[in-house]
Amino acid sequence: MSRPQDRRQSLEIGRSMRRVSRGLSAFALALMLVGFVLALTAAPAPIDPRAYDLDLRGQRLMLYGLVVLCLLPGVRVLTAGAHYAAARRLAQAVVALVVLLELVASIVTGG
Amino acid sequence: MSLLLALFVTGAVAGTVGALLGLGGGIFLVPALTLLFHLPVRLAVGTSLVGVIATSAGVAASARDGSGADVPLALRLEIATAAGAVIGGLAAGLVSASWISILFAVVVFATAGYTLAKSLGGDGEAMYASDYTPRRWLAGSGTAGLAGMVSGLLGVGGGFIKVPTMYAVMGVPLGVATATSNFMVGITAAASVFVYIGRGDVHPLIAVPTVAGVFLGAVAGTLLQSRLKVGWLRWALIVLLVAIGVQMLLRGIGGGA
Repeated sequence: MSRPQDRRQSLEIGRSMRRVSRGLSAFALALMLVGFVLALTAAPAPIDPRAYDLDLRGQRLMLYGLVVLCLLPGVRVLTAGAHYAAARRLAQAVVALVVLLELVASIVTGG
Repeated sequence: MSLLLALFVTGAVAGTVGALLGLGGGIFLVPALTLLFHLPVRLAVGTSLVGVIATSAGVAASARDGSGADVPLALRLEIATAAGAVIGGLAAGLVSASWISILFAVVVFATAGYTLAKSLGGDGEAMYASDYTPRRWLAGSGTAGLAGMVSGLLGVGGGFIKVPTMYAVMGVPLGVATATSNFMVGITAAASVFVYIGRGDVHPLIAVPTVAGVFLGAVAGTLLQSRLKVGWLRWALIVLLVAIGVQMLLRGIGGGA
């Protein structure tokens, strides 16, 4: 991180990650918010949230929002890997690929 | 409706503290959801995992140039953590969880001591910097591996040990260490959260207000961190490490896992 080239690349990756994080988070939160409003307006509020008779569309939108948010860490690793590959920094691209494969394997095999 | 608001506020507090200390917030969310809201543990853990990812997202979305995660460091330590988790899984039948707890407690106390020693070195250090070089890779990777091993054996996260290791052992600025740790715990949480979602252990009407609170709390925590003195965060970390070390030691001596 101390070399100027590393610092410059680190800043670029940081900016890309920030853009990706803002975009995906905003999309996920918007889905959750719309779903939340749909669910709340469809049923009266009981004491326990688990007892809500949820509107199906609202429930689906909230779940989609949660899933989109949960994909963000993987997308961030992918973004970093793509940056390293584009800069031909093979060792760091391979490290990012290994982390991504490990993440995908964990998801597929159930953690 | 007041319960949904309470979930939002709880999430906001967990997100703020999680972002400040680089813990993700799960360490606060699970006990809060089970003890205050009487949720089943599986539902609390599922909600907490999404919350940890929300903290990671909030920190990443609100970071400025130079205050974000050190990505190469995070990825390399993440591999060490995963290797540790695999070794922990293989060793689960061979090594007593009590001994691992005691070993981990020793490492936690040593890290707290390192952090304390650094605090005696004087103030004036910056929260963020870009002109540093992580050092002592072997010790850092070893500690990350041990955190992964303990995570695999005892089911606890390792974010609380990664921040002081990066900061006190590897020489990473504290603000960068917390952002890097939040990036890492987001990846770790993403690896297991889909199991909980698939099993129905993430209830949308509980998770959404909590996650919204966590996200806004994480943004607030990141903004707050840039205004705090390094010394305050350092002492908060030391207190947290001692508390966790004592808990691990008691768990090891008690023979439970």
